[in-house]
Amino acid sequence: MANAKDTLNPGLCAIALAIRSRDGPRFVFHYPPHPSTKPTERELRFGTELDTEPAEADDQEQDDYDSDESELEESSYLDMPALGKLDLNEKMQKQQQQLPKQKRHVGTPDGDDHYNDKKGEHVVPWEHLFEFPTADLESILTPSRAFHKKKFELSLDPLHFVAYPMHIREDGLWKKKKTKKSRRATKETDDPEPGPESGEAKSKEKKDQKAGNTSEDGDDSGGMLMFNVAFILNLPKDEEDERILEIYEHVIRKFNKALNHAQASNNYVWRESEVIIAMKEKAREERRPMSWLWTEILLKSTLAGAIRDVFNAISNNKIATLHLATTPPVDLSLQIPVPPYLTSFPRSDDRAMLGLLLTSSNATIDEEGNEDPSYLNRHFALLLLDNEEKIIAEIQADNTELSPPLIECIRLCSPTLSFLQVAQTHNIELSSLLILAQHLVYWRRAVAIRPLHAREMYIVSPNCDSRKLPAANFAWKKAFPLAPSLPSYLAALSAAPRPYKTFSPSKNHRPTYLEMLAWAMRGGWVTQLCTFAWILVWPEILYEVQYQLKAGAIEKAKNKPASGQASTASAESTDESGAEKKPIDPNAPLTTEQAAEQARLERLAKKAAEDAAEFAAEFAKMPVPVATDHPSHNPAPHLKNLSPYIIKDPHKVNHEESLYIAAYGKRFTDPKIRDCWFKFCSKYFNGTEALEMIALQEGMKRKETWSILMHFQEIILVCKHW
Amino acid sequence: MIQGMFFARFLPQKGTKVVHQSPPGCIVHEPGVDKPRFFDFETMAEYIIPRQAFCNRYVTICDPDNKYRILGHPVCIKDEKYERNEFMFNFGIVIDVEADKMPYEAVVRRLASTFTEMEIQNQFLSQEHVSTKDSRSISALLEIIKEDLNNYNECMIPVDDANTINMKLFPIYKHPPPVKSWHVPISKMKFSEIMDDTWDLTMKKVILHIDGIKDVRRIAHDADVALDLTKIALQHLLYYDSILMLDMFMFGNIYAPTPSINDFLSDKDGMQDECANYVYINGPRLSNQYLCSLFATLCSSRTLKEWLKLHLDQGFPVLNYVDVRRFIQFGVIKGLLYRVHKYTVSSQYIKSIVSGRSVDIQGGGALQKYADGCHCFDQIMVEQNMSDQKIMEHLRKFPKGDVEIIYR
Repeated sequence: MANAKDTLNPGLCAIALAIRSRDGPRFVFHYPPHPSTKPTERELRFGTELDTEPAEADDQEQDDYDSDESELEESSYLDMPALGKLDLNEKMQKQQQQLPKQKRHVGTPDGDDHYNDKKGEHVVPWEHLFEFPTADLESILTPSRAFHKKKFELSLDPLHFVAYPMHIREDGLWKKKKTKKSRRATKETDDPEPGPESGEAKSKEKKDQKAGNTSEDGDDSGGMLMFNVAFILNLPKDEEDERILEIYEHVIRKFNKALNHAQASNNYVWRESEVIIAMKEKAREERRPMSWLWTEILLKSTLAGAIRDVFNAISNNKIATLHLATTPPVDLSLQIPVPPYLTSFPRSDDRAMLGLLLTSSNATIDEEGNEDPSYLNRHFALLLLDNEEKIIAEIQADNTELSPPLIECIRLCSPTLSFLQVAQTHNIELSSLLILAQHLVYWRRAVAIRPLHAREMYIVSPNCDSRKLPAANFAWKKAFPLAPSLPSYLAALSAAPRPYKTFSPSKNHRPTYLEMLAWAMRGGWVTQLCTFAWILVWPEILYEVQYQLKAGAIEKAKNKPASGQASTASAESTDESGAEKKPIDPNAPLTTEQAAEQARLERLAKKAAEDAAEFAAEFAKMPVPVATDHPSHNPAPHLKNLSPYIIKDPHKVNHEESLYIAAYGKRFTDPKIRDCWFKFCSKYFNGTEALEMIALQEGMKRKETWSILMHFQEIILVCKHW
Repeated sequence: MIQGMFFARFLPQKGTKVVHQSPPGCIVHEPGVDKPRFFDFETMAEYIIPRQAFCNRYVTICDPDNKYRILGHPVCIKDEKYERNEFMFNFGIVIDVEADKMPYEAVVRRLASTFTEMEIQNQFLSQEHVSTKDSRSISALLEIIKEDLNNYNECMIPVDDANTINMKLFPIYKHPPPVKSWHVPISKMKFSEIMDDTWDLTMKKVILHIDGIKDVRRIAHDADVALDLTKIALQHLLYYDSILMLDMFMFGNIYAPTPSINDFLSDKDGMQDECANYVYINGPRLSNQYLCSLFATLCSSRTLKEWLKLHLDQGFPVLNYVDVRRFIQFGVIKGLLYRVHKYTVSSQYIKSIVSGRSVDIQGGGALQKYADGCHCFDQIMVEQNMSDQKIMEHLRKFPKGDVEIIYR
């Protein structure tokens, strides 16, 4: 969703590159040249709320109170922020923002030009980042080897410096020597012993080294020992850990690794750093303005350009596409993944994610019901998130080996056809189609949805972003000039859920109406209303099963006493103690103990017989269950005390529950319907699988499915939600 | 939980050194202690007493194994009386990386400020070895602070005649959503039991009117408190999670189930009985299955009135058994239901937003500004003091076909 990026601000405010060479640490480059010290703006909306005007007014009022309070405060330390303040986080940020300003001594240049401070020292505009001199930053941002390929997280209130430092290998090389042996060995093990060399790799490496050396004036002593691209973040306190982890996992680590690769193969980082440092030195002497220098650097250095691209994309929560000019070139895409849709209704204290599609249908839930990001349900369909032509053009421009199959996949897929249907009609392999679709989903080109169909119901999404309505209405008019306006289309959909086809004026309009639906779905305006069901066991069935169980027990008891009586008659007790003693001396007269034991057994047997008789008598009194046509309305008095029962998970039923299902099954005379009952029961009547998916997953016609489901109407509890 | 505390100084000859630590040997080697240290101090020393430019601010750093986080506030005091004209120190706290670091920030800042003050007063830190009898040693202080904060979440320690360290760990909560005048607060605790004379007067007035029925504007009116002050008071309560915000309950409202309804049907956490205890107050207690079907029959196009009628037609007079307001509130609080709000959109008005030209829609009047699809009817009702019916009547005055109602 194009809208999602507004709500998830990653808080990135600058990227800095520092290296350590044998001459010591150097601060190479940072972007943007003048990062804003303003804390990242936070989405003020929560839940699904649209309106913020009163909230802003509130903030202003609170500001006034706050400033009153801060005047009373003696120290600049915010000792107990939780006390006496209302707008904690926001306020603290504001103060933090003010503090540097107050502290900032006159000499700190904010501007573009060089000047001499009071002491007559030359002040260079790019030698400060935030309020820190780069001479100090360069040492703190080049951590020791202990941090090699580890997460480096330093916070200098209010900024966080997050990085993944890269050191040179201990053998003094950036690249592991390429030997057949080491290639086979695991990545971690360092293999100093040079094995038999594969000629090509070696010669290539030599060339690389030569190329590197020539640019370093053939002198290796100035070589780089480590480099570190630090991402500088400014985040609201309560989101820090989560956001830092996200950007670290998805961007920082990958970017540093790619640079490490480029450094290893082409001495890339060092070469580029030397260029940048030389340019800075020259500009320092010539007293060039910073803006001029930065333009020059960005023109000359692809590394600086890459840093800029990463910054621009990631700080706007877009996808960064990088191209490092090495041989062979390194192409890289980086992003902080955004969720393709929301699966639960946002709570009132969740930050708003307006415009994100809201649906419980998660295509990545596998057959066992576990979420697996590498799985894609083949009964789902692909909905492109932008104009098809535009996406194809973009993919063509990327021009990777994956481009042609991706374009093919986009051309074939349609939001109305499931992946399985696409694969079948075009006779292509389903698994590769799914992999391509997954790629498109991961890189935010598409989402997987339940296939759109004119018979299904669609409603206005409770998470739609109506603030975009004016602009969206304009785009809608352009896309569908003859259709009703977007507000009236949405109003019609939201007024009463009906099958979608009833909105289309005639059958000829249906394809256009489906396109309109796809458009609205893409923008998060609408969502599918699905039906979910649970099996409802009415008292009549409960009683019937209970009765059967009792009858079964009596039947068993009847057979048992017969044999039991026979054994007692011959004084052969079933009791083990009796059986044990008997064979010892069968003719001996009974001892008192034995007599007592026998009496006890007799009493027990009598009691059991009495109980059985009582049970049978009671059972005989029980009314015989009568199967009525409408078990839900059976008015029989013996059912009054029973309340209906809901089977929670028909996939894992206990004995009684399976009897209920069987009892229902027996009542369907039509074998086809009976089959469907048993088939649907465990798979669909569990409250999580939408009945709308039955037709697709079972390969049936929608109409047919619904007519069968109508037979179950009385015995399932249905609920409609998205 | 504080894993360790230490006091580090920059010594002109030796560089950054840990002078005191608790527990012993946790940061640097101490004779007689044979426990593994948390991390290699030499690696981290650069961030514990950093260069001057980074001093006098809150600084945190994670160790390379990403197991511990050091929270510190390095201080640099400049004075000619010191060797090299400056005195640098840091009181650090070591916590687990996963632990919530927020409550400790205030502690670290307070330690820095107190000891800075004491150093300026009587060189408490720099002249430590010549300390007088009536002041505590720093290592003892570290120990007490660590133990008290870990065990009681607060400490109150007299350091010498003039100085006492008072600290408390405060939980820091998420910033609550803004309070809107059409929200309805409902309390999560018995305020009457915890309120005492020291409470804020406005707060006391406002709390008396929190009943789960009155909206914020009405509370302000009934409590005779200005609306903005009422909102601030409620915001406070919301921050401490002692109230919840709901919507205004009316029988014309629409509520629809969310996918979480499945939790209720499968009776997660005994939710059904909880609900039954809360809503069956009008008559005899029925079976929980009725509640299930009541929830399941709510849908995005049915007002509560229609829903009640539906059940009445099927022979179930809901109102005789169930307190419908409580029933709905239960659903909303548990996230089983959401309110479907009503919005109005005027085509002319949204066109004017795109073009940037202001229009005066005929018949629009006071409602025109609400007709952009972003203002729910609840808001219009509260701000314009109109009923739903009146709003609809007013909307009819807009040009024909211009206004649409969207349920969202």
